[in-house]
Amino acid sequence: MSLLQIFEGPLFYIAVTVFVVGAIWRIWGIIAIGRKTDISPPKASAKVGFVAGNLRHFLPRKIFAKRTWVHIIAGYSFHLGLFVLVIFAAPHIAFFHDHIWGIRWPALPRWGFIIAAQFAFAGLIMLWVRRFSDPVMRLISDWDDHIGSWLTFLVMLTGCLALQESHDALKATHMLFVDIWLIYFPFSRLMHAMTFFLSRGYTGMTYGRKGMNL
Amino acid sequence: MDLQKLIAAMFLFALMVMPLAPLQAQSVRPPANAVNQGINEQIGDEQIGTSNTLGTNSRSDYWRDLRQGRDGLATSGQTGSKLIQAQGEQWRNIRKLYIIKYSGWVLATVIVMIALFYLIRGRILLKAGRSGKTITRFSLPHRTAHWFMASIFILLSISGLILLLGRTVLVPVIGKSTYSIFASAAMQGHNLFGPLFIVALVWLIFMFIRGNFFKMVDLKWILKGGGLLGPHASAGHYNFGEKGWFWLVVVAGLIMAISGMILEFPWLAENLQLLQISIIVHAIGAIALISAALGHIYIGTLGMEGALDSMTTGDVDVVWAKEHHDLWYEEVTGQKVANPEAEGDQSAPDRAQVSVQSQITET
Amino acid sequence: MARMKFLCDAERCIECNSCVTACKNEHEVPWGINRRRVVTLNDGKPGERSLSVACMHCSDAPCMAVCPVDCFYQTADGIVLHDKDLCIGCGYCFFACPFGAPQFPQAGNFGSRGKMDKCTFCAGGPEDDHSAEEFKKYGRNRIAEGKLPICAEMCSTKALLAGDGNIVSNIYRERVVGRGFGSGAWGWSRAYTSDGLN
Repeated sequence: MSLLQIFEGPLFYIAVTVFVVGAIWRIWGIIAIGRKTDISPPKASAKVGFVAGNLRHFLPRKIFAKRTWVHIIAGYSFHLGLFVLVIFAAPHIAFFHDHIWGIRWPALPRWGFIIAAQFAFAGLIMLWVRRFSDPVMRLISDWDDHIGSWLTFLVMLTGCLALQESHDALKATHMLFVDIWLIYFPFSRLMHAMTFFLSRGYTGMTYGRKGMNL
Repeated sequence: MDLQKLIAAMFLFALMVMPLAPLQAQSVRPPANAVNQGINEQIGDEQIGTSNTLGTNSRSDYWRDLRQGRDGLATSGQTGSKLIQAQGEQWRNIRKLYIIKYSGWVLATVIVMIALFYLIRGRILLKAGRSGKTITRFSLPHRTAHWFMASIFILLSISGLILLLGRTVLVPVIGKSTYSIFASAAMQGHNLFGPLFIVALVWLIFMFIRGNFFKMVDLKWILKGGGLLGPHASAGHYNFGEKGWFWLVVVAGLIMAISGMILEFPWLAENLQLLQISIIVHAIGAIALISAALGHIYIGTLGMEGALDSMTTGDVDVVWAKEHHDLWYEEVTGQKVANPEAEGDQSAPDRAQVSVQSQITET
Repeated sequence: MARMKFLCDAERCIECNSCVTACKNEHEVPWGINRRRVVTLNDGKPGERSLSVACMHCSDAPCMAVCPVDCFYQTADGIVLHDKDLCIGCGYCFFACPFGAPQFPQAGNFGSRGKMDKCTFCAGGPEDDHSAEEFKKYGRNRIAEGKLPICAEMCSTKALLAGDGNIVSNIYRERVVGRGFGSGAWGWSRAYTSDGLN
């Protein structure tokens, strides 16, 4: 069995299992903590607050916008670029089809996929640069943040290096980092991808119940 | 910031221009040993005007034209109607005999020069030692733009050098099939990150152009050799070395951007000769930028105490500011630098205006 | 050992494109790629001539010299072949080739040219002779079967000659002597070194 076969075969399925089980376990853990019962009479709907909180935080506050525009743009550029390239790149669709669920959907042309990757790379590099050049960000960043950034960067970089789709060694490297990333994900802040809506919702519910204008 | 970068920049600019000369001067290679020439010359001119069935074009001139790139009409194939493109030979020679040969030596020389400079001059230390007080030199957007460019520049340099020098340097060590993996990765990476370099470049120019125009004080700085070996040379926010580096990045960067786009999207050019020139120009520009960047990296990290702070925290020690950018220090704080070697700048801005906003902070 | 050469007799070529078609069919060359092309000069005017061009398998091949991954090699017969497993699709061989021989499957945005394909003198590639892998990448290996290139074999006017350079030039010389004129061994001066043996 070649390294590539291991990385996209057994190791990949182990990684996916860890990813799925770990993520469910983490989310369940958060939900299980629950919320302290609020005995005050609600002034407005907490459920609406949940949704509103989630939506409101997609946009920066006006008073902060001037100071945060760089990483707002970088953040959107990275996340949207990443989603597009993960979901709509032809090699990824083929991989999902062959190794996971056996269904296909239309792929982006190669150039579109590369432009998405460029947005993702630009965003990620800028976010990481901010992490060490902004004094506040540097103070609140720990090794988990840096490992998360670097792992994601390496997954993307090895993928980009394998774009010729000609050498198994390059594809195997990419798959190895994907597997590591999947295993690391549930035990790190990369989990924000699945928990952000809970924290936003929590704030939104608290405020919504108090009838605060979000 | 230093003479090193200035010399490197000028040296490389000269190198950039030099190899272009043979490209223009060299005429198309004459046919050395044309088998057909002998035959054609025997029958050559007698054919003209005699009988059309034999054709009027079986002449050596006609076929020579063709060898030198005359067009025909293509009835099949994607390569077009040109039977022989004669510039390919020149391109090959320029690439093999000049670009690949000298680029490695230029880089090696630059590295040796930096090492020698380190051994002779040593680390440029702060004479008065760190004071603990800092002054803001680069804002967060400045630093972000700088490191964004730096990240992409490093990725592009490494991948570009693998492609340029790999066959000469890496293949003998790791073998063809392993190198092919590296080269494939390098080319794909280079092509993906290339357009991001343009984004980074535009952003960098926009962020750093202020204060990077040449002034009279730069002339004094040059005459004093940047204070690198002799007495201190006065400088504003940017000294001549930094300004030179900035403009090298702008000019060479734009050349890289244009030639790179032509290579990335060959249909933009639709012209083989333009592609050939682009590759040559791209390689020369790359060597110029990488060489200068090596000097820049050296002086920004190992070479000068306190310099790296300006790009990490953005705040530099006041002693560093006084010793390396006295005029800037005076401008920002309104305080005169008590440095007997430094010349007062006659054209300094009205101190009363700036003295109000003292930006010194205790740390 | 014989030095393999192509020679196209411009006085005989009738621009029928059979060589292109035969090549494409024999090697099952992918859509959009022609390993051989026919160029017509002075089209529609007196003295019109046509030439069929493909890789000339040069002595000091420019493609071999510039390839960054050194994927080309030359057989003992002087045939220039390449290893598609090593090719990174950079296009440098195309920039250097005087005859426009290297072909690429795609347009080339963001370095997506794909692996280079060119005339192999019907000699396959580095894979085992007659293997399925070799056929898929390079087409049929007629040389290993003891045959010469299909393009020349199919040429209806025998304008295109392929084979041992000495025999080819002897045939051509006899023709020129016989008819009293010729347009030269087109491309030979660029492709082959002066002794004509390599």
